[in-house]
This record gives sequence, structure tokens and C-alpha cells, in this order.
Amino acid sequence: MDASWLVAFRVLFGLVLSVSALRFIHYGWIDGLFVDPSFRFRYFGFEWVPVPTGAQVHALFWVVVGLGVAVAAGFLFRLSALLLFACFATLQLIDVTNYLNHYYLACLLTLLLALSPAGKTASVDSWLGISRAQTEVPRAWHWLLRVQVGVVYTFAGLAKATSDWLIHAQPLRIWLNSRTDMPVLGPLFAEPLAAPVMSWCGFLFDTTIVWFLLWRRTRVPAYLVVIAFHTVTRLLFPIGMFPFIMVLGALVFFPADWPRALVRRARGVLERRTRTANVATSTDAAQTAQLTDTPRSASSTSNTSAPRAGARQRLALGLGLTYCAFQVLMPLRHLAYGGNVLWDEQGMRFSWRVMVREKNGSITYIVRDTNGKEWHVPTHKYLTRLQERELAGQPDLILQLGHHIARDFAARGYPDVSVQVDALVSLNGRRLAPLIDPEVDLTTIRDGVAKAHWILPAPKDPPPHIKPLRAETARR
Amino acid sequence: MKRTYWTGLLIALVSFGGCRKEAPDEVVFTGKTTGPSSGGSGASGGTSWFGGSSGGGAGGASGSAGTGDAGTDADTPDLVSCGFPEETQEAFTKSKLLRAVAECAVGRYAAFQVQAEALSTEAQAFEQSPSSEALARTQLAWQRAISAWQEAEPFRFGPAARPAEPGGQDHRDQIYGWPLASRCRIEEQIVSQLYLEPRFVTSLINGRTLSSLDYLLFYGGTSNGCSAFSSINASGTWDALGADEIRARRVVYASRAASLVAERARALVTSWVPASEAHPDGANFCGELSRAGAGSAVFASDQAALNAVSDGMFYVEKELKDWKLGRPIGYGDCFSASCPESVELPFSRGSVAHMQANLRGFRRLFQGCGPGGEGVGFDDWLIAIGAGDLAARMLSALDGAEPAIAAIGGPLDDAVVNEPEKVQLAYTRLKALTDLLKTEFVSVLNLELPKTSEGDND
Repeated sequence: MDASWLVAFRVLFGLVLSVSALRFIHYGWIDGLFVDPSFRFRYFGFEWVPVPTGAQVHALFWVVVGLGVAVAAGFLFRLSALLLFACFATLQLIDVTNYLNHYYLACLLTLLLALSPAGKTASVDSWLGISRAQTEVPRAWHWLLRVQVGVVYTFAGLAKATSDWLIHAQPLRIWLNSRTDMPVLGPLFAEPLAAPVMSWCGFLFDTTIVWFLLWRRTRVPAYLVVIAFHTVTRLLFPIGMFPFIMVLGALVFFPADWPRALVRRARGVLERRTRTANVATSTDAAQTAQLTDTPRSASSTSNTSAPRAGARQRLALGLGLTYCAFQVLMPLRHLAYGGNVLWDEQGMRFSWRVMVREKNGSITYIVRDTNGKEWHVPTHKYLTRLQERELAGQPDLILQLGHHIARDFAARGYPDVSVQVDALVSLNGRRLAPLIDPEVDLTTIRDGVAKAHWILPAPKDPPPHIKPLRAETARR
Repeated sequence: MKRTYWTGLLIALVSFGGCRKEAPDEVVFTGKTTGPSSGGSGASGGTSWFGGSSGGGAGGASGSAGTGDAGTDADTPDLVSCGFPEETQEAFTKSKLLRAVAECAVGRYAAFQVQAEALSTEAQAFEQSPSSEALARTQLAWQRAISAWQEAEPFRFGPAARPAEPGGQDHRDQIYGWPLASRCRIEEQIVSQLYLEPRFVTSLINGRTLSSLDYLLFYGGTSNGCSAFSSINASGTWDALGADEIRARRVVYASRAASLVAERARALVTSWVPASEAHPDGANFCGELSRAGAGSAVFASDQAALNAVSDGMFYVEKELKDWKLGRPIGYGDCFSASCPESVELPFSRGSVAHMQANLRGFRRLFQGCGPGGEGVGFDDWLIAIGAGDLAARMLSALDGAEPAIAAIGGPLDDAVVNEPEKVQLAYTRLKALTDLLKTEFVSVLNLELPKTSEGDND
């Protein structure tokens, strides 16, 4: 299969990651998110990952910028891509409160890219002769990336199949109501039907777009819808590079030779213009044709490496299928826990539940020693405001901080304290309700993958019906 | 930016001493022996400034410093306003709320300016003719000024906010540096007479502002709160001054500090009001707030402006509930039954009145600025979007918190020892309000919690 799709993906993705890191540097977010916190929430099973110093974190971001460019250029591709994955993943593993679905997606795509033959053509490596030119790639890579991107859309859609989203139009109703002063779109958001219509549109888009992208006849209009959808979400929400990654990711649904076809079409346009201007020569056109058609016509100079059946290939296929199975099963794991995943968050991360909840909480730890002395510990004592926001709705983080508080008291000479938590949370604007059993001593609980019985069930009442409010400024 | 960073760092060091290096000379820190009652007469110590009782509670103040009558609408100068045309629209809009907030903020700041000017005048008179009566008048003027300011504390947005915030000019911290308050620093500066130098105006805020005046005007003792290893004790320069000189220097110091506070009060009002004959340098932040999303250079949307305003309302959560109430009652970094030494403004002992003023300010924002909550407030926004039930529950919680704090009665440092159940009840009632504020309120109005807008989301 033509490798040009993978080359285009490599170039665009490498540049997007570089820009993503540059945004952090430019906006000065690094200290606030990665350096300032005195306590960091660790991922279960990844507590061993060392926490870099502030200077190292800043350096890592610059390294990501450089490696993104190196990946795009295909310079020492395999090494660059693997290092890019390692650096990006390390940054993500510093603190759970920085978790975003699109950072996780970026990690996965970087890993897949690093393992793929994306650097074997149109790259500095092939130009320098570091790697042998390979203008075709196994078809499996194309389908692997399609599965990856398809999983994101599909599960993002399935996550919206809730009464909150489809019946009550929450939390979109809350979010749109605060944007009624936006130019052009703002007055529309003040219409009563705006939130329900947009909720259903979002649900239908996410659950069906993959199939429309796969079908040749609907592919191009579907891609235009992808661009429109992500443009609107980018305007509405602070979702960073997510729209760019998805618009780029959706390109994998086009035929493998789409970049070459694009060049041919551009060349056609150029030729027509040059004919009109009567300045082009047939020699130039022939040279251009030779250049762009090289991968297909000059097969003698490339190593098409027809796949050989063998153990290695079977292993690769097995690994690929295992990866796909993991990607499908991981977002479904919440079914094993039961309950409302938006409330208890068991099975929330790594599941592509993108922008489906508005959750705010008031968390106070109650620490008691054996003499009956009681402390009410607010979260701001240990956390940055950004961490507090994330902690408020995530029980495993509440548990981690509870353990940290117990350790802190032990270090001060109070080794036998109990730590309970008054965790009041509002989901999608509902009345606040206790998230954690206030009687449970968190020091007796260990984090794990089993169902957490110390998390209380979600409230049954529906979210509030927020009425849209027309902006005075929008009417001016 | 750099100054903000260091200010924030200082606050973090002082406030979160539990897991960091402790700041030994900070009054706000709990469990230390260098607080106001150490090394001498303390907050209610019997050492008189002028060898006798001074009716206003000088030195020997035995009860809570009164609130004066500051902060009432009667103190608001009629001519100071944003100058908005009269509201003609019945329906609620966010712009209408912003105009109401701007008008209210200007009113609070102008009311404070009146009291700050009076304080400066009294302090200068005290400097020129020190006497028990002059001290009492200055103390009363300070009590009125701090009461007016406490009501403005929840209005910590726009020019009052730190420079990193939208429109921030740091006026709040320059007027009232609490919780940064260092008795030892003030005493070092009494020795060095920094207050006589031009650089005093840019010196650290824990050695000037209204919180320093709490010590300068209400502490009549001659001992100091610095450690034995501090420069003024190790070198003997403090003892060398003698009691009379120490008191004389405090008077001058207080006068200079009061003058700086008055200057800042004027600057704060000027930053808000439009240019006029009375305020030719008016920078019109009122206009910035009211034009949010429609030409404002500070706020890209009305939602962003209301976010900034709501950030100020969170004062009742951290500063009021956790610091002013939680620390003295022993819920914070306190390893004895209670920590009365960590009350706010320990020398004047008016913490209960200050908390009441804070809630009055909160009510003005939440319910409306007029008497009894008249006018447009955040509750009207809640009602307009169909969350009237939440508005009612928040008002109910506020109605419950106010009398609970008032019921504490006497000085908070006494109450946490003698009647802790009253303070605990006030804490619980206040938490009922802040729980709603942090959860449903920010959710249904889609407001961001303070300082959480950094980074991306998805």
C-alpha cells in the first residue's frame, strides 16, 4: 500500500505535537500545571515514574518541540518518535490532574507512529541513506490507525448516550448559556432548542462519522463536517489541540494515496494556470510528473518488500489485534463496575468520555487523632486551585490525598489519625450530594481496580433545567 | 508578574506552614509563641500607652474593638459613582448585573476612602500632639476604616486584585496586607525607622497597611515579638530605644502607614470612576466592567467579567471560613485544643465584627447592594435561568451564617477557648454556604473556580 498517507500523517502529527508543546511554553502553563504543585497525584501502577524537577520539566517541553519537528522531518525517525513518546508520556504521568483525553490520544498515536515504517520515505533518514527507502507500507498500519481514530469518535458518541445528554441536554445547556454573548452564534445559543439540538447533533456526529468517513461516496462531505464540527467546538470550549488532532486523525479514512492525489490535483490546477499564462514548458511538466509519480512508477528503486508470511508477521498481527481489543475493551470496563461512571469515575479515564460532564465539588478532610482532637483540612492546603478542581469529582484522587494527609500528620507526630472526607459534589448542576461515604476512614482503603464500595451511588434526581438567557451585548 | 509570584510565594509560605518551613514571626501562623500575647502585654495586655486608660481601648483593650459605624450607606459619598444611566430594563441581563456590581464596588471603595482619609487625618493629629485622647480618636478612626474595608474585601476584583488578574492593580494588598502581617518586621522597622524613608512606600506589605496599624495603634507594650537571634535583639538596639522612644516611634510610624493607606484608597476609587471634575484622573474601570464583551479592553465576554467578580466571592470560603474561623478554632495547623493567637488582627480583637462585615459585603454582591439586599445581584441571575431554588437555599445559608457569627459575641480569641461550640456552629453554618458556592452555584452559572482557567480541557 502507498506510504504517502503515513508520511503526511507523520509530518502533520509531528508538527501538531510541537505546536502543542510550544503553546504550554508560550502561555506559561508549565509551572502552574507541572512545577508548582507540592503534591502530585500518581497513576495507579505508575507511581514509580520519577517526578522531574522544574528545570527538567521545562527542558522536556523543549525536547518535545524538537522531537516533534524531528519526527515530522523523519530525522532519526524511530529514535525520535520513541523518545517523543517517552517524553510526552513522562509529562503526562507526573500528575493525574493533568489528564486529558487528547493527551492520551497523542501518546497512543506517537507510539503507533514510532512502531510504524513512517520514517522510511520522504524523510531525512532516507535522504541521508540512514534507512532504506520504502514507499509502500503494510495495509495493516492503515487499518490500525483507522481503528484508533474510530474508537475515539465511537466511544465519545456512546458516552453521550445518557439521559443527561440526550433528554436534559446537560451539561451542554449550562455551557451554551454562558456563551450567549458570542458573536454570530451567541444569539442562537439563547434559543430554547439550541441545547437539545446540539446535544443530539453531537451524539449523532460522534457515533456515525466513522462510517461516513469509511464510505467512499460520503467521505469528502463527512470530512467537511468533521472540520466544521471541530471548528465549532474549538470556538466554544477551551479544548486546546484536540480539534486539530482529530481533524488530522480523520485523514486516515481517506485512501492511502490521498496526498499523492492531492499533489496531482494541485499540479493539474497549476498546469492549467501555466497553460493560460503560456509560460510552462512540457519539460517542466514531465519532470514534475516524474517527481510526484516516482513512488508508484519507479518501483525498481524502492523496496516494496512484499510481505512474507512468517512468525514475525503473525506476531505483528497478533500484537495489532491485541492492541485493538484493548482499545475496545478499555472504554467498556465501566460496565463491570455498574453505577454511573460520570459520578463514580470508575472506568472514566482512557475511555474517550470527552466533554460529557460538569462536575464541581466541595471537599474537606476530617482528621481525628486518638485523643479526639479534630482538624478540618481544606484541599487548598495541599493543592493548587487547578488540582482542587480536578480532585473534587474524582474519588481515587480524593483517596490519594487522604493518604497523603495521613502521612503528613504522621510526620508531625500524629501517626494514628483517621481521615474521613466530607465530599459534596454537584454533577451537571444537580443538587450537591455526598460522593464518598463520610464514615469511611480513608487510611483503611487501598486504591485498586476493584469496585470501590466507599463511593456512594449517584443521585437519582434529574439535572436542573437551565433556561437560556439572552445577552444584552449580543443584541447591540 | 515577578512581584505577584513572590507575593504568592510569601502567602503560600506563611499560610501553608504545615508542610513547609515555618515563618516564625508571622502573626497569622498558628501554634507559635511569638504571637501577639508573647513577650509582653499582648493584645489585651495592660500596658498603657500613656500611663493610664485611654477610653478607646489603647493598650489595655479588654473587649472587642467595635465596628464603628463605617460601611453603612450613609458613608458613601453621593457624588462618587460610575455614572451609568438609570436602568430602564426590567428583565435581568448579565450586563445589568455587571453594572450593579460596578456601582456597588465604587460605593464600597468610596465609603472606605472617606474612613481612610479620616484615619490619616487623626493619625497625623496624633503624631503632632500625642495624648490618650488622640490615640483613642485614631483607634476609633482605624476601627471605622477597617470595618469599611472588611465589607469591601469580597470585592477583590479589577483594580483591587493582584496584577495577574484581569485589570488587577494590587490595591487590595497595598491597603490590607492580611494574612501577611509580621509583628517582628514592624518592630525591626521601628528600630530602623524605615517609615521615614521614601522606600517605605514600596516596602513589604507585612510591615505597613491596615493590618500593621492593628499593632501600631493597639499594642501598648514595649517588648517585641522577634526572636532572641533577630538583629534588634541580638544587637540590643530595641532595648536601647527605651519605652518612651518606642512609643513615640510607633506614633510616627502609624501616621506614615495611615497616610499610605489613604493614598491607596484614593487611587482605588480613581481607578474605578470615570474622569470628572472631582476625579480628573478617573480610569473608569466601571466602564470596562459594564462593556465586558462589547468593547472592553479587559474582559472578552460578560461571562469572563462575572467570573472575575465571582472569584472575589470566594473570599468567604478560604479567607473567612478556613483562615479567620477555622484556624483559631483549631481546625487548621493547630495542635492544641484551639489557637486563639491566630485570630485576624489580634491586637484590636475585632475579628467577629470583621467577619460580619465580610458577610455584609458578600450579601451585597450576591443579593444586591442596597439595604436588605435590594438591587441586582447574583441571586437574580440564578432566578433568571430557573435556578431560583438554589438562590433561595444560598440566601437561607447566608441568613443562617450571619447570626451564628454574631452569636460568638465577644472577642474571637476568648470565644474559641471559652465557648468553642459557638465558633464551631458559625463554621458549620458558613460551610453550608460555601458548599453551595463551590458546587451548584459555579455549575449552573458555568463559572470557573478562581485560578483554574490555565491549560486546556476536554
